[in-house]
Amino acid sequence: MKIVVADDSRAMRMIVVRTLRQAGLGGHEILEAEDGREALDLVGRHVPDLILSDWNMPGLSGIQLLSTLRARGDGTPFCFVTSEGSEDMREQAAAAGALGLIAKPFTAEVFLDLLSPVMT
Amino acid sequence: MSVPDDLEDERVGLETLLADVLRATFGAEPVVLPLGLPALDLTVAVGADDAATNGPDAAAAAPPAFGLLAISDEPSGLLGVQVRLPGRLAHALAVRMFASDAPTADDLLDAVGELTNILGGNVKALLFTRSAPARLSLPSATLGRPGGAPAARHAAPASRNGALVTAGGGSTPTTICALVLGDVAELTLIPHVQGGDVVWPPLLGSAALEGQP
Repeated sequence: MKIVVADDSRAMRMIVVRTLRQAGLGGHEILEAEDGREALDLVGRHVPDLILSDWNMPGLSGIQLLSTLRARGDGTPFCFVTSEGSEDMREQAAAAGALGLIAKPFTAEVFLDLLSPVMT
Repeated sequence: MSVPDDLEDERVGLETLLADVLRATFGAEPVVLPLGLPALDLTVAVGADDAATNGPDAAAAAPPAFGLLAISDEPSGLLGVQVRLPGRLAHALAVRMFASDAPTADDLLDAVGELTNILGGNVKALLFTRSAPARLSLPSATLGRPGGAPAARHAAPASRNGALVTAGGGSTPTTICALVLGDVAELTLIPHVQGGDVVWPPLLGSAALEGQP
């Protein structure tokens, strides 16, 4: 499957990909985006099966990316990977149509629990 | 909760937060240092040979790295979040995050910026749980000179996002220190800072979507 990983930190994009592998969810085609706008472009061109996105990004934030996709009728499974894990943020994520929110720092177990239903 | 004037009441929670984030990001057990312990002296006492990750000599001599961001809770103001890592610790962080033995200066800035982002997000969740409008800025990171003034750090040419946070208003900063991999990491919260050139992510519904197909 194709997975878009959007984060303005290159280190974090690498960590997300590494954690997928550690969770036994590796071996997929990864498309990296530096912000929401680039992710939106990748989604339009590659039709991914899953989007893992940071929330706070310059240009187009993660929540703007998700809202734009859903407004277009794009229901690609979408999960936030963000440093903010408050209940407020989780409620906003769910209301906007996200599969869930993984708070940094995270473990491979959290990835497995949340993502395995849409990756296996 | 709005930006507090005195964060000492939150010290225990902040110590736990710093230890949890350092444990996860460095893969090593941190030790939170007692309030008032001179961090510099302790770093020297531990010594370079005891560090779990001995980087190249250049890493030990490298200048400290600083991360900065702000949490906005209008109208009460901004809470500044500053992270300071000795050069060797910043190098160890980049080595771990990038899985590379020879991280570049850009890698160090990215790694320190991301650590700052993680700490800032967790600080926001800890202190602003009943304040939905609170916002987290994008992080910035600089490589400063040992003993340099704050202005010199901010003026460092290699920075990520170019954000600035300058203290003002006379509020007392709260600093939490933790020993990890033989060096001391510092987390400082500064109430009522001035925003300067802090970079904020766009708000939902802002003009950022204009021009999108």
